[in-house]
Amino acid sequence: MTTQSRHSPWLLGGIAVLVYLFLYAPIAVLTALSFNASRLSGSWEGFTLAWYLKAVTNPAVLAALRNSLLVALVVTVIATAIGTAAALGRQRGGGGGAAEASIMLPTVVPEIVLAASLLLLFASIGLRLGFATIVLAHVGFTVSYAFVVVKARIAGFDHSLEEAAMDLGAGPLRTFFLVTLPAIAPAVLAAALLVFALSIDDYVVTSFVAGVGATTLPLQIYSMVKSGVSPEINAVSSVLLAATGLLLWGTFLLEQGRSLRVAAVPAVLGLAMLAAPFALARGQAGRGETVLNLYIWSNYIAPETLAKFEQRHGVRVNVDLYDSNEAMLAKLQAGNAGYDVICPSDYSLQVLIAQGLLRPLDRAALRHLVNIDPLFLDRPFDPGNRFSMPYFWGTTGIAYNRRRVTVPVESWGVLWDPRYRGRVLMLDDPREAFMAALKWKGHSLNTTDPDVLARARDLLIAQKPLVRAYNSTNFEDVLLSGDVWLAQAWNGQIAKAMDQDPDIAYVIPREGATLFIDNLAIPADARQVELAHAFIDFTMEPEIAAEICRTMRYSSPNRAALPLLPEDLRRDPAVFPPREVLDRLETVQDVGEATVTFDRMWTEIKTAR
Amino acid sequence: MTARRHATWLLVPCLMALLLLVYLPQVLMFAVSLGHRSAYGAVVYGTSPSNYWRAIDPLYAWILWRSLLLALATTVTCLVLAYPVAFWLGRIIPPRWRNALLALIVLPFWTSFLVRMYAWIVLLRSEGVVNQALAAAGLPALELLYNDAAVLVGQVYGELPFMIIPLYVSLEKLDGTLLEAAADCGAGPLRRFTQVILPQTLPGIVAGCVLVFIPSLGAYLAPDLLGGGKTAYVGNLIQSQFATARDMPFGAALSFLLSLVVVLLLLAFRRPIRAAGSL
Amino acid sequence: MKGAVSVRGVTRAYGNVVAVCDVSLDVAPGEFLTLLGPSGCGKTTLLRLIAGFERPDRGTIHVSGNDVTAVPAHKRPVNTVFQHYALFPHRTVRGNVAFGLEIEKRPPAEIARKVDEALDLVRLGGLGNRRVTELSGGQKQRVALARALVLEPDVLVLDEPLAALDPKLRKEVQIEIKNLQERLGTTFVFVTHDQDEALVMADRIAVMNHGRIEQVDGPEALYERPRTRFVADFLGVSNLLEVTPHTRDHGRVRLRTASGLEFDADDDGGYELGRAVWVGLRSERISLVDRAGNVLDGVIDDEIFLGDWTDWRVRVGPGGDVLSVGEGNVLARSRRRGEVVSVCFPPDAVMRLDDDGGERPGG
Repeated sequence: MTTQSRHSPWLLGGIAVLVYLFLYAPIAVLTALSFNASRLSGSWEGFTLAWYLKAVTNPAVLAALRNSLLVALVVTVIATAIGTAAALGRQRGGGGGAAEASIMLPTVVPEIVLAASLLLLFASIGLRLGFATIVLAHVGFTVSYAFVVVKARIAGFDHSLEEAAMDLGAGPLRTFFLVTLPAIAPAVLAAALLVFALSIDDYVVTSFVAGVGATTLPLQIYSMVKSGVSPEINAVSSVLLAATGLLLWGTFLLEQGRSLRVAAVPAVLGLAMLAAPFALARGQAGRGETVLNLYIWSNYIAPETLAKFEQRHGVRVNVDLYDSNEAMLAKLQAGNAGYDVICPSDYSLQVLIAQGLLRPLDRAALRHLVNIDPLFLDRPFDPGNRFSMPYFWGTTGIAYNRRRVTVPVESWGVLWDPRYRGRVLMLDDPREAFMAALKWKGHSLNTTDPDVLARARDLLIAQKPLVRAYNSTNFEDVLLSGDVWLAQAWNGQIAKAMDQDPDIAYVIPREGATLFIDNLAIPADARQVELAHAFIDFTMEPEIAAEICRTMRYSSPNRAALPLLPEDLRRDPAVFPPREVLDRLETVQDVGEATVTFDRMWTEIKTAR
Repeated sequence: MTARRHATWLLVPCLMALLLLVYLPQVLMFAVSLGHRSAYGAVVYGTSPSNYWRAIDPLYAWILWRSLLLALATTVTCLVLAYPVAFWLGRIIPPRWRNALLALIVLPFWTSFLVRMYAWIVLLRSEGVVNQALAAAGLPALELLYNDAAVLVGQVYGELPFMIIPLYVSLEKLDGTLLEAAADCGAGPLRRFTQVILPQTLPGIVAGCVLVFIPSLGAYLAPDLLGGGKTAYVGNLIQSQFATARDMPFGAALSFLLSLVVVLLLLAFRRPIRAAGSL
Repeated sequence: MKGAVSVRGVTRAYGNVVAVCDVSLDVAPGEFLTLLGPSGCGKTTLLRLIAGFERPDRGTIHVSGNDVTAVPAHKRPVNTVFQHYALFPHRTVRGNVAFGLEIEKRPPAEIARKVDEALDLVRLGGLGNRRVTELSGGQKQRVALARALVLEPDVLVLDEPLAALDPKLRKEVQIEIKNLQERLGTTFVFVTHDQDEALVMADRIAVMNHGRIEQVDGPEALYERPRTRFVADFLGVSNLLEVTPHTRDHGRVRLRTASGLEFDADDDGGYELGRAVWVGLRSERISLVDRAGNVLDGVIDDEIFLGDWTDWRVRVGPGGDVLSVGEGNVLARSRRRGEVVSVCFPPDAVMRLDDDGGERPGG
């Protein structure tokens, strides 16, 4: 029994309105900006649907959407069926309090725990990561929600209806379909819509258990977010929000006891929003179509280049992205990743070779090998290049805004200058961060001397108050947006940033820096071996290598490609530093057991105040 | 009795699915946590609890502590914000509007957490909407992103509906005649609140707190996106063990510890949670 | 044999509670049998056992001569009218009535015809296309009836179907159902806790208490000659006295209560001198006016006006036993509390009851 309260309605109402605003403001802003013609969130430059168009025709987005829908569909059927059965059983007195509690427990457990344990499960039974693992994982965490929803709604279910049906001659099965199911239909549908929405939206669990070519929409959005703040993401996000919002509104209406027809309106609208681009998406590889699975760094190859390869060989290239060697290593070490070509950096190549995870290359298939500058061949991490071919090389240096940073930038020490408190960005990479500290004090970046490392750690801890963020994905955006003035950075993306803003400069400090060489390699369990070789060889063709360098701005190890590059690119010191600078550079080597020490110290740095 | 046994069979697929996908992996998690990492990051099984000692080591214990604090801060903030809203919804708004307004609160919660965190980035960046507004008003820009405060905002944003609902349920069920009786005995508004409303809504408060606290312990996306890589919480720590450091045994130990804390909390507060289970 | 129900030694327990204890009952074909008793006496359980929703722990059940003990509900020729009607909410009236026929896979034309007949039978013709949620209680009850009868069952069981109707409607429907049953000739097993309802409708009544049948008899026999104290009490005998017979004389027995009240009863051979026994005395057989048979002095203790009759509470005997005396108000005379009166009843009005009628041992 509720009565109207005599408490002051205005104060409470005011707070309530503020909370509602709080809840909806970010969403509203996001949606509004998705229609903004300007790339920057600051200024409004007119209403446009261009970003939506871009998002809807982005092949990666479409593929991810397709995957999300397929997964969600399968998961919905399974989880709803199982959850409904359990709710019915429980409502009829089956099981007990313990059974019910254990079914409901997963709804409260932190997602990270569920995600990690599922990854371990799949890794330990050798199940290849892919669609199946996502479906299983999603069923695992959604079935509890289906149970809760159905159970709540059928609480008052009248058993005498089922008895009446049996009394009139219907056996148990016919009773279920003719009487029980229609009676609980709204509950079941509400549960189905909820499961669907949860599956479509999930990021954490999916990120742990997704495999090749099974990128879902949230994973795609995440990688886009990490790559920069573009209105295209706003558009995709808004669509996702609107679609799932409509689905959930339908759930809500059904739970409230409204008729199916009324609840169907928003639900169908939501589904339509998700399905529409689906019609435009390219189909999954048909039985005849061959697919090459490429696992590569973000910002490392342009879609146009890939398209050329696809056309030439009549195949499809499926691209999955990563932004750290560790992420790539983790995927491969878990086994059964399913990739045909990967792009490990120097030291991670060492690890992969030592663990026997790579396939030796067949020289005969790599005719364009001769184009590679011998400077980048036969390096310690892969003597004789038995397993890899250089793809890109680059440097880690300091990028900065010339207008803001008026002192000369020559040493790593500038990143410790208290004048730039809160305006510094460091790469979110333990080896790179340590490199800056180690090099500054004249040590090798591959040292394993515990005292030296400890001192470097202390330096990095002391640096923390100056650091605005640790970021390895879109550091150039953070610099461009003015959030930071100095950034430890990799040269390729900075070269692109320098095109956008002439105030951005890049320098390799005098103490030296990292030279990284990223190489193409073929995992031992790759399926398309011949095609993989063809792809590697393809990237070493002069025109192709030139195109790759031109579009991505990282440095090409391909001698034959250099003459084909535009003049300004060839002379750009950020992309092709002079010889004497190159001599100051060191490549990263794996430090074996000391990795644990590194990780521990990195954690200490991250948690320091 | 046979009807009951038949009914129990209906629960089997669900229980099996959860056994295989949730509970068995936890056992596995425990087994892996007793092993150690090989030189190159593979799992070497063993029987040593050294990972647990490592987890209680001051460095990591500090991170666990921070996560507890974040969870606590989130819970308290949610409670403070949610109570007035739940009160307004449950006792002031006429009944016919309640369901719709309630749905409006719940709706964002079930949509993509990722997207909503991203929306906060857009708002809080140095040149984000908030700072643009401040600049337009002639005020200095604020550093709103890539710090603990931003993580708190994001986490509260994500968990708030989970606090509002249980509070709403218990406030709505509150018998108004109790308040009238209290007033009749001479209690003013403040007294009525502290002596009648607060105690009567205690189950809802407890349930809401537990439902917000537990997921916040394992917060991962908010720190990841809004913390700028500078903030370390258990969620990110676990994730990094599985991804970056490739030390799955240690990650498993941390994760198992977290699950343990969760289970203990749920057991300790099972009665208020069950009471709020009438949602 | 068709329509006969034979229950033999049936027991059904739920944990420690024995709902039905070693019950045996025969229902003749075409009979209207009512199971009567207070809530918890087991009548509904017995009904559900006959319908097939429960299986007995011990004993057998035969319907139309066939052993149906192990036969599930949907295969028995028994249909049920549920207490809360159990109409399928997603179907119309016609849809509900047609349900069983659809299960039997009858051709559509036949289904339509039978549904019409059934609806006419319960006087609901014309409401066929209504949604069941729009019907009144009485209408829903008729639909439930039609749905069950359209399948022409051997036996129809009805679980307190009139409990939710208001008293006036209830009386009308009671008579309708009775007439319906007589016309159809189907065996009806009807459950109620209302004594009047049972007396109006039933051919025979089985009175149940704590899982056992205490007496099965026709309405008059039950009314005139209740066998146990429980039955007497349940059927409204307001005077129940524990007495000890102490002399016998010329076909009469002199009975004496613990507090010294003495009166005579007809000796039916069942009284044992010196052995305590319970007797019942209907209040309407006691008169404040006549002077024949047992005449006792008494004092008016209380007056309860009940419309067409008055219940006088009169203190009689040396120990102050209170008798309930019913007097039709046609004869009424106003009396005052404390007024001395003479209470009179014939010896044959005293009904000897079989047992102490209290808690039964063994549950």
